[in-house]
This record gives sequence, structure tokens and C-alpha cells, in this order.
Amino acid sequence: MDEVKWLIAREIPRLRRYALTLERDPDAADDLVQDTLERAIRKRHLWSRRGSVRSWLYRILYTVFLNKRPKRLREQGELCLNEHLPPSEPAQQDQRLICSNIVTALHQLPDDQRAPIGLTAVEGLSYEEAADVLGIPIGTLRSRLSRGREALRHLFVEQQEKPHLRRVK
Amino acid sequence: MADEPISKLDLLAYADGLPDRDPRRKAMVDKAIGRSPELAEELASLIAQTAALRRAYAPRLDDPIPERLSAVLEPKDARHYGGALRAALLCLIMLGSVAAGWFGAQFGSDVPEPGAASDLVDRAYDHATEYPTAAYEGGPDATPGMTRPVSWLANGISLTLDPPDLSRLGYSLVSRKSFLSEDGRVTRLTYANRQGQSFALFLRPRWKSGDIEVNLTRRGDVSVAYWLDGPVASALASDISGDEALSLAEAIRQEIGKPGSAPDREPTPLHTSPATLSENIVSDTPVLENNLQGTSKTIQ
Repeated sequence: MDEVKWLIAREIPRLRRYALTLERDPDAADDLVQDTLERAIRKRHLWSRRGSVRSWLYRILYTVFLNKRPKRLREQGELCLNEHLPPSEPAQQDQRLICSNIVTALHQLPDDQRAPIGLTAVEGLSYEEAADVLGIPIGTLRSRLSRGREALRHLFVEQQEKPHLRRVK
Repeated sequence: MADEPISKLDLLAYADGLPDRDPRRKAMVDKAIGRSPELAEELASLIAQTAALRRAYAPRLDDPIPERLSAVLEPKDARHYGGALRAALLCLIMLGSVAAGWFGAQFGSDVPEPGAASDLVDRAYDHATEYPTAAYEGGPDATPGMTRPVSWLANGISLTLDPPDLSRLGYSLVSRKSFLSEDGRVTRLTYANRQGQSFALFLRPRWKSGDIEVNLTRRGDVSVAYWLDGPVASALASDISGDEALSLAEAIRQEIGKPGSAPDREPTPLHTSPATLSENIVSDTPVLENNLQGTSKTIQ
């Protein structure tokens, strides 16, 4: 395996995790990763060989996600995101309950707030790195993060108070 | 000077662990939350939110990678013929080595080790000769922070690796150092077990294609296993048996190929000049130099 493929291969688990913050359905998230990998392999000669291959891959993944968005929105029509969730099941234990809530809550946020939260809070990128991946100024990133995290705080609390919680794979 | 007001973004950055890079701002946030229970409560809520998000998504890293994703990087046909190609390549290398040996014998020069690993093999051998396992008698005594990721910036490309976790094999990391050589920066990780056995692992980034499977060479009592995989050249040296060295090398090779746990931060570029090359010892970062000194005293 050449060195760029080697570098890309070891990022697959992280790409799958970030994709899951963008696409709730695991199969759709893996579709996103597959498209990202195909594009990265095809375009690897264009990689500037500057900085981290991980940031480059996140950038491709987010671009692929944005490109797929119109189709996804068409498929969803006007349906509420909640209607696409898996069937609800009672939570088994507290730990599961919290995870289910936070994921459910995250996926109720708009894409432009969910994407920076995934990069910073889940993937651990700095704000500068996340802004670079998303192709937005850092001030815009901060603003989206602030609004998104605040909304998440309310949704997270509200969900915890609901008697029937949905389980997330 | 009056304190600047603390914003929601300050709290958010604090919850995400980012102000560690700005101690002054961090101190101001600490002071503010000490004075205001409301701010402290808001911060606690954000920290809990970050922790819940990380916990919720962490299992995804350990999920097996679906075949359809692996196949993008290595199509099935290539994998099918890969074994045969590797075997053919090894034959060619062996034939090349025999030819080189013949020429070497004819002209009185040493036969070089295969590929880009030769400098590492020499360095690893020298180290194992100078510091036999007896140097680590007493077992592991790892310094906190030693397991931080190893970062290189070579030819403008950053690469971050977690030091291989060999605890399942009974080995712990007991020392780490970085060196500058003519071929770039080399990181040496030394592992030891409770029985007093130890080995040194040398890692160096490389940006050339062409892998070499794990090979073993013996010089006197020293076994040196070396391999080239992706952008990393590796060599392991010890006075342990050759079989054990090979088995450790295979385990390490698999560990290195895994994704790192830490974000792939941009490491500080290493400015080198001809005068600073060869045997200068450098740490990964200036801050970490202090951590290294304590450990190195027990070994060197």
C-alpha cells in the first residue's frame, strides 16, 4: 500500500465516526465515507501534501455531505427528522439513556450547527482546524457552535425528561 | 488591569479543553467561575454535554471496518494477487541482496541493509549493544506523559502515531527520545517487562512507496527486526531471542497501522541545519524535554 493510501486507511474509523454525526443512519454514514474514500483516492495527486491528511479527509467528507444534501432533503420531503428514527425502546440503563438522548438531540440541530459540533466536541479539532475543514471564517464557526451548543443544552434536558426514549444504534 | 468579561464562547472552549493553549484566559475563566455559581453551573452542563457526545460516539471507532470501505483502498483483485506480488518482490530483494553481497565481497565493502531501513538498523544495533537488557533491571517505571502521541512534520506532511500499546504482551514504555539524523528525525521508544527484558523501537517517517515485510537480522547476540510500512520505517533491537523479536515486531506493526487516539495536531516544524544534524538529541516539543530528562538518566 502506498504511503498516502496507508495514511488514508488509518483514518477510516474517525471518518466513520464523524459521518455518523452528520448522517444518523449508519448505512448512510458509511455511504458517505465510501464516497469520501473514492474521491480521496481519485484526487490524491491533488493533495497539497501540507498539513494533516485527516483534515483533508474531513474536508472531502463534508463536501460530499453537502453535495448529497439536496437529494437527501428531497427524499425526506417535509417530514420531521424524528420520523426517521429507529423504533423507540425503553432505555436499558442510565448510560444508554444519556447517549440516546444526546444523539437524538444532536440530530435535531440544523446541519450547519451539527457539523462544527461533531468536529470540535466529538473529533477534538481546534476551532481553527474546524473552520478550515468547513471552509468558513472562525467567527462564523464560533457563532454556529455557540448557537448549536445552546440549542443542544435545551434539547438534551428536554429529552431526558421525556418518559419514552428512543434507542440509537 | 480589569478582568475581561467571560463569554459563553469562553465557557464552551473551556468545556472542549481548548484553553489549555492559553493559560492566561484559562486563569480568567477559573477566577470567574469561582465567583459565579451560575457560570460554574453552565460550565458543568457544557462539560457534561461534551462528555456525553464523546461517550455516545466512541464505540464507532472500534466497529469492524466494512469490506466495501477497505475495498476502496485495496481492490479485491489487488489483494488477491498481493501475496504473490509480495513473494515475488521478496525473491527479487533476496536476489538483489545476494548480488550485492557478491559485489560487496568483491570490492571489500559492507552489504547495506535493504532499503531505507539501513540507518535505523545500524542505530538500533548500536543501541542494543550499548544498553543490554540489564540496563532496565527493576522493570517498567514509565514517566507520566510518555505515552503522548509521536508527531513528525516531514516534507510538509504531518504524521501522528500513538506509541504502540504492548501491555497485552507484558511490555510497558519506559523511555522515549528523539534524534536528528541525516535522514530526518528518529524517535526511539524503549519498552521493558517485569522480567527485566527490554527492547528499543526506532521509528522514522519516510515518504517513499514500497513496503518491506518484517525481516530479522542478527549481529552477535543482538536481534534487529526491521520493516517499512506506509510512511514509517521501523526497527526493533534487543538481545531477546529472534523469534520473540519477530513476534513483537508483528504486533507493533499492527498497532502502528491503527488510527491514533489523539487529534492529528500540526506539530511544530523542526528547523534543521547541517550543524545540528547527526547525533543531536531533541525532544518532540520543548515542554516535554523536562519529562524526558528524568527518564533518560536511569538509562543513559
